[in-house]
Amino acid sequence: MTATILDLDFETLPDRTVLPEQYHQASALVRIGGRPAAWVRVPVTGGAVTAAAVINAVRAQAEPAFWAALARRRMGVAESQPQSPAGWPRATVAVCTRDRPADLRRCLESLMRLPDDGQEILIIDSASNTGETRSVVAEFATVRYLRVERPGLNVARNAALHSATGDIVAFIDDDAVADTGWLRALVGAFANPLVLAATGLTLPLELETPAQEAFEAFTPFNRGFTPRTYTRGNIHPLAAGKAGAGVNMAVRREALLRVGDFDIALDAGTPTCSGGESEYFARIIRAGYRISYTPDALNWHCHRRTPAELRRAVYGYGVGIYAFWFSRLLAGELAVPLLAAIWFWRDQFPGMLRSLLRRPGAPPWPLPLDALRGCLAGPGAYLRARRAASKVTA
Amino acid sequence: MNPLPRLSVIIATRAAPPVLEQTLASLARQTLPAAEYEILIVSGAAPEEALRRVPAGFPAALRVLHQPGDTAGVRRNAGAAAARGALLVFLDDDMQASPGFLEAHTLAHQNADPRSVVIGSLNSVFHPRAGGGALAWHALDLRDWWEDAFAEMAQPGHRFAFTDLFAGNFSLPAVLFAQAGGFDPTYPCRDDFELGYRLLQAGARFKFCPAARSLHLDATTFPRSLERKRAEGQVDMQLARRYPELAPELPFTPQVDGQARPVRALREIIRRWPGLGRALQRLGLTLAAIAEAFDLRGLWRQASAGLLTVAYWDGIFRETRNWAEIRELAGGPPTSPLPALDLSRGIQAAEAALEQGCFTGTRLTWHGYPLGCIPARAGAEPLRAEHLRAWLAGPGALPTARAQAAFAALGVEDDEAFDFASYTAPEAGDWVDFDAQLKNHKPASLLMPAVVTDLDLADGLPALQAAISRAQPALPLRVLLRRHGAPVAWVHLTGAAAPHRPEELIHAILTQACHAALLGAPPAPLSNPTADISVVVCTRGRVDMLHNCLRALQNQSMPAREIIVVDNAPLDDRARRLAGELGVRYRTEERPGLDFARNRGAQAATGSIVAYVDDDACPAADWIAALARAFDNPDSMAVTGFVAPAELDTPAQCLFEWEYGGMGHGFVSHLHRRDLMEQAGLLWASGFGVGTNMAFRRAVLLQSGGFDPALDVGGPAGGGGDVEMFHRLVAAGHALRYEPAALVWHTHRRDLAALRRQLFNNGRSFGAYLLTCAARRSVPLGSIAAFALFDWAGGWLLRRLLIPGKLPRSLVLAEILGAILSPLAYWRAHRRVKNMS
Repeated sequence: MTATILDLDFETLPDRTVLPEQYHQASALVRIGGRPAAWVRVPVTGGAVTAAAVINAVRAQAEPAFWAALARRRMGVAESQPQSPAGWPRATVAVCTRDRPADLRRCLESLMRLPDDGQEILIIDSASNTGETRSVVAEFATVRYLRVERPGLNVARNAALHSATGDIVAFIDDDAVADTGWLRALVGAFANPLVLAATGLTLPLELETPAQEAFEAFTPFNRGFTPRTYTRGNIHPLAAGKAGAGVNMAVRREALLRVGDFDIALDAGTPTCSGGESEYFARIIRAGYRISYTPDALNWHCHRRTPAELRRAVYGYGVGIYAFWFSRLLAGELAVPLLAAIWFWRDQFPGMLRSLLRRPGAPPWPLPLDALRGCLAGPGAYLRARRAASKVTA
Repeated sequence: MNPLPRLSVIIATRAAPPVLEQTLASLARQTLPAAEYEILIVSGAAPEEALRRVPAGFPAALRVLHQPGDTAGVRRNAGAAAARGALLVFLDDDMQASPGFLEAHTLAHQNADPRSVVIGSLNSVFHPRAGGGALAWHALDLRDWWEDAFAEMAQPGHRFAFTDLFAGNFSLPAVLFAQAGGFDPTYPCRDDFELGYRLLQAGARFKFCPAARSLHLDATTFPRSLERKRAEGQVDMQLARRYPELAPELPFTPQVDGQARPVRALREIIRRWPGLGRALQRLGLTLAAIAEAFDLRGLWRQASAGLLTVAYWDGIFRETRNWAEIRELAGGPPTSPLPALDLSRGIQAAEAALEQGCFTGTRLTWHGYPLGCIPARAGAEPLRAEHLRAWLAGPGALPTARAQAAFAALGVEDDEAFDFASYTAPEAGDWVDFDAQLKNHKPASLLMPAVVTDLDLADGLPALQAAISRAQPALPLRVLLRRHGAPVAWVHLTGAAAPHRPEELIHAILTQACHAALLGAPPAPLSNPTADISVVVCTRGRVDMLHNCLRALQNQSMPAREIIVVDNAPLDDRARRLAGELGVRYRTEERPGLDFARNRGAQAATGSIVAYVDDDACPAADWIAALARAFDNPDSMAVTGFVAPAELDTPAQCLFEWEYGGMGHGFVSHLHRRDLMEQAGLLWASGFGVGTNMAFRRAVLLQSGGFDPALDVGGPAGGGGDVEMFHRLVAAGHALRYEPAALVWHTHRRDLAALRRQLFNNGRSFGAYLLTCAARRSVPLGSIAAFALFDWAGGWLLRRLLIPGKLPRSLVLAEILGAILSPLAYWRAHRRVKNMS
């Protein structure tokens, strides 16, 4: 069940959008006044998506935030939106990449389309095996290239934070594409000095294969259309991953002084596979700072296409969460086992049952098992990664 | 003598603590030239103490005054008296100014109203621990409180009040300060609120200036906060006595009654036995400390909030222990009703009215209809255009947009159409989403017999009047709201002693009809306006009902190609005679059974589309037009529509419609297609539509083999032929569209016994339907078994037996009994069909 992706404005819906034959349905981003407002599934009839079908889908699926935005729009009352980037902190866009030259080119092309507010674009080449990454970057005159010999996504993120010239470092994955308003919205989220990190809305760039559909359905980056600010008051640090993901986040460079570097024993390029940004978010929240989620900061992520890659990603998320939690346990947070037990009892175990029984809406088997296997491997992976990290530093 | 500075920065300090050094250092690094400002340190301690804090080579003029006294107000007044600048900037000794701080204050006063009071922004600084260690929760809460207070002021359209004046960082012209009389030095705290109130009374204009940023080096501990709360309580009581009109705005007013039980108990103990109360407070402090040590955030929040509240009341009781007095003060002086402001003549007109008049608060209306209100707040600035804009962007957005859309749809242009002035809404301002209510908690009044009618918004006021004229005084009214023919929402009026009024219906539409008013356009014109639709009505011995149905079919906005009455195993010739009188085609089907009759109708039909309606139903006037529109898309192979109750006269009918789920399938058009759904969805074919309102492309229907006569209403299975047909078509890959615009009114079973029989049949027929699916292998057997077990038996039958809601368990049991007997029914039905053929 694959779908094509549409980007529509609710006030200028085309009567018919004709689609290539192979699509039976479309996933549509519906904007109001250019701002993302709803993400809906629309059936394709007669080879096209009609305006009526989109309206029906919105009526059935949109969040309350959509109706409030529409009502405001119809009243001609503008929402409080930072208009001019003058006087805003300067931003650096950092892309950490490893051996994905084609994806990187697509990402860089989208970054070139961002409005120019004087931002720097920085590519961190994380120990790529070939020179292709460097030659792709060379095609773009204004892009700075930095090579890090040591593998590890968090190593690359630290390199970006330390060598960026902007006050805000916005991270985007090499397999993602930025919307034109992405950077401004992320930077605008830092108006409050307590905000050390900001996250945005990530939607799928394509849903061409069942694996991509499953990825979008069961490990969604989509955090909804209501802006939120996460603080110690409303989120537990160990659940800070809810605030967003590394595919679409920005960090105030000052955070290096406040909460330190990213943990190089975590995330891609190490045995722990993921969890690097969740652990960083946890430290930000625990230290009393804030993370701001703004759906206006939109980017599109190209999910892995094959079932094998999907299973590996799901396994990796399991490893990452438990590695991150284990690191907090080692740091003396005794709440970790309780949280893990609650998560297992409330989500993982019922999820596995539902998946085994093939209940509607349940992830296809063996994805839940992969995630659980990842969890079990997490603490060991963390210990190994930490040992490796200390060896290199020594 | 030096030329006069433009600004005097007044820093009042009790003891010139070390933190003052940082404050002064920040003032030495200003973008404003040093000649433009002077610093006045008013110290309660010896001047030498303060002088020690001054950094070497301080660029601007600086004087230290010695002013003993208990309150900061005394020192601030002394500073103001000695100031030489035309503009006074007040800064606390624990605040670091940003480099542009003084420049921002200066700029904010340039070319501004001479009565401007500029409030600078504040960010709380705490001491982060490297590596992200934990932070004392009280410091965090306090910091969040500060942050929220200033973030609130930064919102566009914030309405300033006396509580927004913060003495730690604000500036005003010296003349204005003198006119207002300066701080009242008798108050140990809240002196800024009190000054703010007098300033606003004198017509001062408050402004927030985010660029005048200061960093607050807050070192307040929890015990100090408690002490401060005590002082605040005491002063609030004094303020309430001095300015009774302010009492409703002070924190104690909402707390008089609205507190958690332990907090109220502790408060009462403190009032009667202060000593015991203090001991209990210390216990509470220990509890809070334990909560923090064990990372129990929820417990901490309750304990700390409770302690702070009790400390505040401790302060109040120091002033008075007389509850009667406190209550009387909390009541505030009597208020006058708010003036109304109608928005229907445009936002600009309303804004102009606000800018002219001195509105303290207003009731906002749309052609007289109440949208909401901006309350009058004592001690707040008068309403201005930006406040209205903020209200419209926030709480007012949805009600106003709905009212705008609904009144425009009804074509209301003058204010005289309704008399809202004499109408009080039953629950004013309470927006009930009826759809949501049906899903969650259902009001008991739903099961009261009611009058049913419909109202098309597009027909304007006359339709509204007609709908309300059908209302009966003591009975509830259920209005099916339509727009250009398509049903969009149910609107419910509860029964009242007096006759219903049009204003009541307007209110109900606006509050209950969800988003119906926001969306909806006239339907697109048909590409082929002559529909090729044959309508088949299967009947058996119900000639009166058949008559109604046929009359409705003959009065369609778009005529059918033909109307065919299929008389099923006729007992007499009344139906034949009726068909002859009305000039419709007549066929008989001798084998008893609805599905035999339906198949006979399909064979007899000559149109390319066959539409079915039951004899106990009555199609709306544009039923055929809506079906034709749905079939306009060549992909649609079958279409089902909305079935509304024609009457809700008996409890059985109400139960069936509102509790069992009725026959309607929602107000949103939906496409059912195999590639868009999962196996379980495919098996819930009863959710695709009902047999009393369905239409098929004739070729597809005949090709599929027609309705399964084993699943017959008259036979042992008790029905299910329609559901099985929907399932078979969708399973075969055809698209079935549910189109609510195709509306049919159906008379539900009137008495409980018939309803019980119907539910028993539902159980039997659905089981037989599932067995048929299994026999035909339209879906893998495993999926059918899982569906039957989890979705049907578990999620539908047993769940309602355990949590029956308002549906009597006997009815649920009837359905379960039917389900249990369904295998037997399936077997008997097949034997019967075999015998017949």
